[in-house]
Amino acid sequence: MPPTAMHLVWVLVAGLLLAGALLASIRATRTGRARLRHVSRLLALAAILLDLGLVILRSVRANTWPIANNFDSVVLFVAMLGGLMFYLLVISRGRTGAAGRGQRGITDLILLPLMLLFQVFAAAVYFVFRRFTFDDAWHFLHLASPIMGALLFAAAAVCGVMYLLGDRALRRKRTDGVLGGLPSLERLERLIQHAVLLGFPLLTFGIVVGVLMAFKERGHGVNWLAWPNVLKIVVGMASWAIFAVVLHVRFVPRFRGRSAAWFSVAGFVLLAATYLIVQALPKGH
Amino acid sequence: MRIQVVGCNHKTAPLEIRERVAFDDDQVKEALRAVTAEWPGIEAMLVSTCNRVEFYVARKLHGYPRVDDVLDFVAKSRGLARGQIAGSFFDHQDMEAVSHLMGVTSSLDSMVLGETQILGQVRHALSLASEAGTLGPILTRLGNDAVATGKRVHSETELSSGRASIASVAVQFARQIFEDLSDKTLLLIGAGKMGEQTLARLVDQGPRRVLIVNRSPQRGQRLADAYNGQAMGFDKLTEALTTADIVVTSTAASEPILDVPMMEAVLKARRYRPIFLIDIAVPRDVDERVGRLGRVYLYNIDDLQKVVAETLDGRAEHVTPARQIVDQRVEAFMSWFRSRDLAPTIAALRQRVEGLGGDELGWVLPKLSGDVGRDRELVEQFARRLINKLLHDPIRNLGQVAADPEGRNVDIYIHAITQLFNLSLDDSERPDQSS
Repeated sequence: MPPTAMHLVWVLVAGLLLAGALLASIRATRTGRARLRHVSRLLALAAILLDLGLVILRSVRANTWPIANNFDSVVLFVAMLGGLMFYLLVISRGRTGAAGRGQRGITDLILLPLMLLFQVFAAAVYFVFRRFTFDDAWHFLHLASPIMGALLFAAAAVCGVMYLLGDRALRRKRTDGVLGGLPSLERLERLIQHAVLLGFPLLTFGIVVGVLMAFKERGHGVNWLAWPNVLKIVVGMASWAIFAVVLHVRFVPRFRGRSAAWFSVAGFVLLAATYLIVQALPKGH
Repeated sequence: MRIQVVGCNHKTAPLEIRERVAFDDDQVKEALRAVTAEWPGIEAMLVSTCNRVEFYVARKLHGYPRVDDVLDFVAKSRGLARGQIAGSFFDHQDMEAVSHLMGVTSSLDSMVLGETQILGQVRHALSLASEAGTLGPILTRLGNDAVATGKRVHSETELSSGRASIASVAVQFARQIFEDLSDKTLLLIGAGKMGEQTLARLVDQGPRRVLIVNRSPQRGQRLADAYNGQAMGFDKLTEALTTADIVVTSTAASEPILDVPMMEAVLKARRYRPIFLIDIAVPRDVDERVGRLGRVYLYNIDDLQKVVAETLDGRAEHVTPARQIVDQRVEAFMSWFRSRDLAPTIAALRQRVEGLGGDELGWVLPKLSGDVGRDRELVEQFARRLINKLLHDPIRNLGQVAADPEGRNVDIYIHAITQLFNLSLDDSERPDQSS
């Protein structure tokens, strides 16, 4: 079901709420006012609920999965990022910097811009709406597993950024609230590993199914050597390779910690780039 | 009633005096029973910690013990001459005494601003006084209000935020690196006092294993026994470093004992697991270049002291909001306290006026004629209404006087009303500016 103008307004309202949440969070960080931080989180929660509500409403009306088109899948992705933000807030609750200056809301400041970015992207997708082919279970798996994988890689990337900030603050012996808003480095490292450990098979599965389906559809006019397809495959494989490295650094101790964090960030950036390329480029056949 | 505190603390008395006048729990109860036996009818509470000994008494306005009596009592009970301690003791009365105790529980009066231990100590003092049977309504309410004030200050301001000791800062940093210390190994290199203090704080977090490496095996073993750890010789240092996650080093070595080549080898042997090095030795035990190695987090004494200084500076910024909370609570308590002071006067005034009304009714009622039943009711109603209306404004205004936390005019009002209406109050409740 293509989104209506009302659905676009819905997405824009959620976007405005996220923008308000981000502004309130920045202001709370600058002024140290806890009330502003609460306001920011309430606005973010409202945006997440709006997004979830929209996806559920649309999928119930169309009697299909919430990932049946690019519009719903992006909106759902924002809501899932919101869930990730609140999970990270819960596990870092009560942690304050050594000098006790209170939390700087670092989790919010990392995730809210990311959510806002994807929310804006969801609004843009309204104009390039594309329904995914759901001919059989393979099509569903080809789409669902990379989306779940992408969420897990987003989690790994966010934890990677947090790890790098925490590591930097500890090395610089910073005593303000940067460390206060973060889970411990050990926990972040573990979260990166777990997210990649779960996300990698999902991404791999999605890619393999996609390749198999492309082979199957070859006779239907798929041109493997068309440049959009080549670009999509190269970038997708590059992000896959990076996550393969992150997954295996646990067996190469020297590359644990900061290296793994950098890799997880780079992998997600490439994955996001793949998605944007897929959305932006014309079909390669 | 009068509330007074006589005591000494870290600001007024040197440690030698505080040591000599300190009471243990049994002595506190004994002293409280003795003081209430000597001056029956009073309420008493004694706060005795390493930084303060403070005797709180609630007594009748004209009653005893006065400040000198309490000083004599403390000196006598500690086997000292009054002259030895008098110069180190302070005293406050009523609002100042209340404000002092609330400031104490809020740790505005503590040696380390914002520490929270004092709250438990005052609560303990209250419970000792309760066990000794020397608490009454005034000190019970004062003590509870003071504890509640302390809690409110700690929860609503950042006066207690951060870590204010080297050891607690080290623990805080350890918890930023490691999620849980229960599966970690602690290593203490050297057995100095500061190292032991830091180790003790870290041991409180429940580590899996404690290792002590020291040049003197006896001292190392003693510490290992105290902390349920394992003593090792200096020749096992590399082995211990390979196992440990958190290392506290405080040797008296004049050169660094941990350098880059050694730590590179250790990191390789420990498969690059993170290691937290806390170097509290002066001169330093760890070459500062070690801190640039990946997976090594190195903090020296200056780094930790800087955090402590920042914490205390940060706390100082929150003194004003904390003081505002204390002032509000003092005001509320004093309103209640003053209203207690005025209650006997108000009761006596009402009794006096109603007595006069009764007398006049007794004079007029027999003189009624006609419909006596109806007239009697009307006259009685008239008298009652007149008395109520006459007393309404004075009583309301007295309530407002009581609400003044400083109670500036309470004594004047009590005195004036007592004189004007020829009230018979208990002498001890009569105001006396000199008491």
